[in-house]
Amino acid sequence: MNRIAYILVPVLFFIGLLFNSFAYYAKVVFALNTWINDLILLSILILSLHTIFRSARLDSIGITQKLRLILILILMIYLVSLALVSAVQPEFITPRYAGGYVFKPNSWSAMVTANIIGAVAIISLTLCFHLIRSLIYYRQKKNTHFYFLFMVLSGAVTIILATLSGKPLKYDLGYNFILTSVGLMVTTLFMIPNVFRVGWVTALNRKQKFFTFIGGIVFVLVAAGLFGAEVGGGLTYADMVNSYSILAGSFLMLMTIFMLLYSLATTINVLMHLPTAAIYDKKVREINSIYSLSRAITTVFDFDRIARSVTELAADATNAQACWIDTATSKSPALSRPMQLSALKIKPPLKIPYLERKLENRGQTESYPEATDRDVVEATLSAIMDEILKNKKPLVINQARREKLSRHLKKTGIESLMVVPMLSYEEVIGIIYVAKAIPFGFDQEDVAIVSALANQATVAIENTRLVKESLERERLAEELRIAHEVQMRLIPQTVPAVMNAEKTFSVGIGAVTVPALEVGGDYYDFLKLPGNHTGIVVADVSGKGTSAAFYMAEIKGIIQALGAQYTSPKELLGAVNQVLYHSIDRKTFITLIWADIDIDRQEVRIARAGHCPLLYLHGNQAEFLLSDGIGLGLDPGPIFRKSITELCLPLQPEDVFVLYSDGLMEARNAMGDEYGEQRLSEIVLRNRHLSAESIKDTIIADVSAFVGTMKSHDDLTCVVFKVNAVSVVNTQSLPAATARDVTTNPIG
Amino acid sequence: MNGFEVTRRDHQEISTLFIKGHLDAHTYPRFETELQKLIDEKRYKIIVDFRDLSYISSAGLGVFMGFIETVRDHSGDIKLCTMPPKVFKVFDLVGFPSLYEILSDDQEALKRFENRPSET
Repeated sequence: MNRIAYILVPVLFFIGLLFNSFAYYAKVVFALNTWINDLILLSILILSLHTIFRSARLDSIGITQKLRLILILILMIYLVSLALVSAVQPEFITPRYAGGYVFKPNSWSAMVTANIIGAVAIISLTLCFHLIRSLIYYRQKKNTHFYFLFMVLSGAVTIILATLSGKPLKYDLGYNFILTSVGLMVTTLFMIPNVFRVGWVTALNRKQKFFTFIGGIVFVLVAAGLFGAEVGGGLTYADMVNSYSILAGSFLMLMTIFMLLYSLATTINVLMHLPTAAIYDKKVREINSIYSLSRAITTVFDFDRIARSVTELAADATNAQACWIDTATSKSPALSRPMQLSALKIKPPLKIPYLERKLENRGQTESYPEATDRDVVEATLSAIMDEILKNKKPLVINQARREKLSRHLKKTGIESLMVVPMLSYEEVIGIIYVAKAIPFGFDQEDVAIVSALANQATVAIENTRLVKESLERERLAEELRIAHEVQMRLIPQTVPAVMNAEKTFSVGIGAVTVPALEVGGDYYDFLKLPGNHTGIVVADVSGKGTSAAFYMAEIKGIIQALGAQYTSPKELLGAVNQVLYHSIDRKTFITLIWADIDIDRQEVRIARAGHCPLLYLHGNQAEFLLSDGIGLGLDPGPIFRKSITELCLPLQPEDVFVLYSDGLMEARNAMGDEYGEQRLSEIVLRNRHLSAESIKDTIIADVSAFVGTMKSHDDLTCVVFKVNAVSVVNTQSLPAATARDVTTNPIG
Repeated sequence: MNGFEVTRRDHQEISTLFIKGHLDAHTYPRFETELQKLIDEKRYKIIVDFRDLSYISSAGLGVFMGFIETVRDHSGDIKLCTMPPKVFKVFDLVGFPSLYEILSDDQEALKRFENRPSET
């Protein structure tokens, strides 16, 4: 459709021009030729209106571009006409046949001139009309559309009336013009509400408003010229177009009046907006900066980038020359000091070399320059910082040179300074400084806007911190998970087979350790010792968590290294203590119980170093055996060795031995009761017929049931071993589990 | 969480710390600070009174080990007194009675210090 119009409009004009030339030379004067001409023009008008109003490209351009285009178009009409008229010098007459109201060309060149001017006017004004319409429709209200429609309808009626009557539009209530004049006046009235639709002016910034004002004056002058100025030969511009066609002339007339009124309204409106334009701009900047910052903080988790955009925005919003931010160093988030310079934006005439240097050296060790450079500026800024840290309130210094606190800032060029703390839960986590080179640079609104920025930035920084922390937590959790796995590898994965040479006699073993945290300080192990001896060790490092886990690994190393070298448990523990004492933190000690099973001689020798007693089950008798001995790492040697006594017990079928850590005794239920020896001996007695593995399982199940939902607060370890006579088939103590224990591959 | 409190009473050159509540992995740092304070003040004759202590864990026992060397190097001592049976059992199990003097009440502990005047 558009493409057709682009071809059709020029073609129609050309046809019109040919027709007029023919009519001129033929000197044929009859009403029909005016009608034909008007008809051609009407179709051109409708075609251009249709094409232009459909154009999406015109709607998408900005207000300022629209304004510029309107001005260019109207200037074009004016200049083209002027140039053409002065080049051709057309002559016009007012022939009687036209009723004496209308000029008619007196030469062919005049006729062509009128035609071209009319064509340019129709196309350009249609375009202008469309552009102005889109301005009128800016922030459209309910009635906007109706007012506009009334105006267009009334204008169309007026144009039709003028065309039909063959009389040009003018404000003349005389007999001849009464009808068209009334139409013109009514249309003018309908223009009024449309003319005041100039709300788009508020969307302009100060500079744009200024140019709109200048452009508006030019536009008013040009529009007035089109309306009334003589173009040449005593004709106005409208007269000339009327000579071409009353229809075109009327359209031009109405458009000129409308544009004149609209440009006047616009110019006056812009003029009234100009004084407040700066303040308005500032408000817009403030809103924009808060908006951009709140958008930035939801996406940016980079501390420095946030700090940089805050300085930019704060400086922009307050029109300041310098802005910088101190933030609490990560080591002391709830700082009193020190603060670290996070971002700096500074432009002439302000100069703060101290801050620039500080920003460059950021991250490096604080290297203080020569004493002369650590000057009054630094001292002043740090005094101001102290003030903020103390009061936690924004500080505005409007005459920096005069105030005692800031008078030494003279050489930086700072005349006014605003300092706003960033508060998070009443803690200063950062400070925003904004500086200007003029005194009285900041008012209450500036404080409000920078405070708002500070709040936003605080949220952003808190966010960043939280994200960092959660990442760190995740990393730690992962490390702990690995540590847990490593530690679990330190604990035997299988239990050894313990059987005498004749294979008539065996010891079944069940063992478990449950750390309270990811890693713990409990440890058990089995050692194959020379002479078919088996060593079983249960140890508990004091404290818990990571440090306990390290010592647990250490004690394993020591036991593995020394276990096979000593035949006497007492001597072994003495040696272990000696090694351990010198490599262990004074506050830490280790309790340990060592059982040396001699399966061939059917006896077990036990030594205890400060550890929980051994539960010994013989027949129906449960007994807690407590030999002497102090914890490992408490004493360098003599007292320790002296304290240890050995226990030697025979291994008889069905005997059950339970080694455990204090986590088992101290497991607590919701009432705060401890599991205790009584419960342990009862559950073992009740289940003594089971295999070692199953006894261990029932103990753990019983403790779990006892504790319930309470979180265990200590590592819990339990090693059960039970004596089995393999040849005695009819005892009930040979279930599958025991057999499995026996057949398990030996470890270590 | 169970609370823990330390109160201190000085008697000439002897200081008595009364500890109350649970002394475990969570609370022992507070007890440690109190002891450190005494060391910083060069008061090496220390009595710890356990009468109100309801629980002690291995980490709590460790605190004593952390200071005893320093204290004894300065001719002082840490004496423990008035232990509830349950607390004593923990100390006894680990073998503290062979390392520390554990006395039935604070008066007795004071007397023990007075009988053997400081050599400094």
